[in-house]
Amino acid sequence: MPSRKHVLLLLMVTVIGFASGCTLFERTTLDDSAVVQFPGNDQDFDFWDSLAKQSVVTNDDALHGLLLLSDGSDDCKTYECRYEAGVAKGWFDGSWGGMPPANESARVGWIAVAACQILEIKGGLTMQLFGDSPRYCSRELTFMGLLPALSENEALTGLEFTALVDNIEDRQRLNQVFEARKKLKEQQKKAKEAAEAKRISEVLTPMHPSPVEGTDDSNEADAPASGEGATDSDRSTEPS
Amino acid sequence: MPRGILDITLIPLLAVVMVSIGNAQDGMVAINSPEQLAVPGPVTTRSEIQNRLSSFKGAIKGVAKPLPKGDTRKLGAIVMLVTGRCQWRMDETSGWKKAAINDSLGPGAFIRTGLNSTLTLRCGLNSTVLVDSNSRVQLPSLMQDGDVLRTIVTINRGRADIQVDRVGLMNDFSVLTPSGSLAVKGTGMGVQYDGFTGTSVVGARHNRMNAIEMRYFMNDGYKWLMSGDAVSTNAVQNPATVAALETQPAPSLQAYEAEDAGSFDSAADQALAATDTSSVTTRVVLAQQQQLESETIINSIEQEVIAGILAEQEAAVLAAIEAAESQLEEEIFEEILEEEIEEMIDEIIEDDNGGDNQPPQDILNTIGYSQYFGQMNGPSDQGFLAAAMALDLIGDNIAIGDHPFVDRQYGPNELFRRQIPLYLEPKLQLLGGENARTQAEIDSASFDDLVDGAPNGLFGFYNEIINYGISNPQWYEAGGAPPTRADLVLMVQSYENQINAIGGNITTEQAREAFTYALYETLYKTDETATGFTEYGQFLLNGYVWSGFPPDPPQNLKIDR
Repeated sequence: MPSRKHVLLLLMVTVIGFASGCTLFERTTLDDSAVVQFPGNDQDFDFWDSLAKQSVVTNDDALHGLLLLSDGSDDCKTYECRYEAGVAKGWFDGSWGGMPPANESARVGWIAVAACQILEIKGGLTMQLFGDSPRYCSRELTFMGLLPALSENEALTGLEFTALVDNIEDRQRLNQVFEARKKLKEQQKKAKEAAEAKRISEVLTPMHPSPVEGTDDSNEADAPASGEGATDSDRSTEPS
Repeated sequence: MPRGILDITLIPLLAVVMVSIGNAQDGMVAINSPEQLAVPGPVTTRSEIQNRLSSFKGAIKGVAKPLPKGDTRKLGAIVMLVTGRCQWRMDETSGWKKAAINDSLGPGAFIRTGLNSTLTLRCGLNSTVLVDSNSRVQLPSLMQDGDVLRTIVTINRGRADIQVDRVGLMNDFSVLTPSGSLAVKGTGMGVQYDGFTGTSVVGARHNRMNAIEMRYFMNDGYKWLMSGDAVSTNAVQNPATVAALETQPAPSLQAYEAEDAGSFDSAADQALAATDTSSVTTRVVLAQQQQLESETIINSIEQEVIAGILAEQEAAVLAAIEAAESQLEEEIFEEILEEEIEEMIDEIIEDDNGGDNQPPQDILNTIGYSQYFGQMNGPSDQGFLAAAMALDLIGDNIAIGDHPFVDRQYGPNELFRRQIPLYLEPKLQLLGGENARTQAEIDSASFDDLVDGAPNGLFGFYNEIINYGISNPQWYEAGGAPPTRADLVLMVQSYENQINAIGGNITTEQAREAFTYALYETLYKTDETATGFTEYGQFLLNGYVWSGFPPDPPQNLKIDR
């Protein structure tokens, strides 16, 4: 059991630390980051090249990169504008403390929220209940293999952020494929239903001039041109 | 815009959860499920595409001929498809250029792709590279070395899918990333480098690359019809392919075909280079026939020309034999004359280039010497300094010029000669020359012996100076030729040759400065106000150097008479 003397000493150190502006919780800052050097939409190649060499990604860099990814362009000239755009897209849901400094290292948490918004990830039960949060979006991205196991307060290097953007892009492509496949299945289903409906209607219509396709196998063996090119009129001349 | 639904009551919440779970299950589609293969493209079209592709690759096999061992040729890369924003440049100094289909890239080219962009390249004869989005790729090497196709692709960031075909040559295909290197011997792979996993290898998207290749080689929108006349040849064994190729339109103008066509040795090879496979066989046969005919014509012309040349030579030889006897004496005389002229020319050239008797180099202008010798009053002083150096070092029992010996003592104080070692050796040792001392003590109180303290080299230098003075007795004869600047150059060069033998950590410049310091202290001052020979130097010159004076003493030489 710690003595009262030790507790007092600990309290005193803590108070002194806070009073003197303890730097334990300060985040890394970078003044001349990639977006400062290459802010234009037509400078995106240089932006990504410069970013990949950075030791840390700033909030300004991350916002610019994610806006390029989601919208294809970033028309904002200032960090405040980018932040507002991010807020409008819901990228800062669950974050607290207001607008983070532009040159401060970006937290994985809000980047993960942005990624979840871009990819429209529904997540698990917690995300369904509580909405996107830095903590659970980070975990969701980790579960999906888009992000290594990082806590929401950690920072990313430039190369890691670039890798995350690439992973998001790959996932977008995969989602497009899934969407296309889903539409294809729906089309197949509709086509099948239409064919079935047509077949039923033909069966139920005795005055139809041609026999229902596929209902009488014996006729096909006798048909001289029963290939795919045979027309309905050809078939109608065959003996039944 | 919070997406949370915590403020809704529990029942709708559960309902939403159930619905969401249901949706999530619906969204999961197995990649290899039978549904995925539903509704394939028309069978005939697919087979045509496959035939076309295999035919194309067959043509490539014909193109890929091994070069003679040791021969190399550079290959190119052709852009086959660009989606989004892609750029390339030829080297690090070039500017970036927007990529477009049929752009031709050489070895060393850099490629970069933007977000949602891809670029597909046909590299050389055997590979297709699909550069993924937001990637940085370089092609450092792209060449054929004998029977090996050497290709190096560097992936600095991002991903590239690589498909390597077997075209009858050896494939040496390497992929480099910042953290590793890989080799592709056949088929292909996808290589990715990012900040999370470093280098990772994944399966290549062959279907996508094949589709891109087909789109490129088919010239978009083209369709062919199958012919009823099936033909099979050795070159194209599949009759369906032959039939399809028979109905092809005009040959396509693919950029890389034109590039490859420029590097073939024969017309037949060039015919094979065209991937217009509809007439590959015909072209090859026709080209071979044409080549054969051309060779036949060339051979016949060569034979005629050779026969004519032989006849002319025979006639000339006969005429020469007849004239040889009459001209024999003249020729011998001419040969002798030519030899003499050549000898004279050689002598002149040798003299111009500087023979052994010429100074090897004007060393007086080099660093360490120029500060001293450059301040002397003129070339005449430099020549007399050479004579004074020999007089300082020579023994007292050696005859030189008109003098049976040189007195070991000089001046009113009866000091002893050999002053140069007295200043030179301690200075060298002070500067770090370990082997600079030739003897334990040197002073002006006695006439010191020159001790051979090998390997210090200074003893050899002293002897060379003495011998050089002895071999020029005219300097010390009345009315003899005076010493010149060239003599001083040779003496200084003699010292220069011995610097390396001094040893220690003394530098060449320091050794030179030590030598000029010794000359400064003993024979010749180069002060701005009083430049000229010292009292000791004047004593030596007055007493022993009679060449040129009197009656005509050297200019600027201060001599006490």
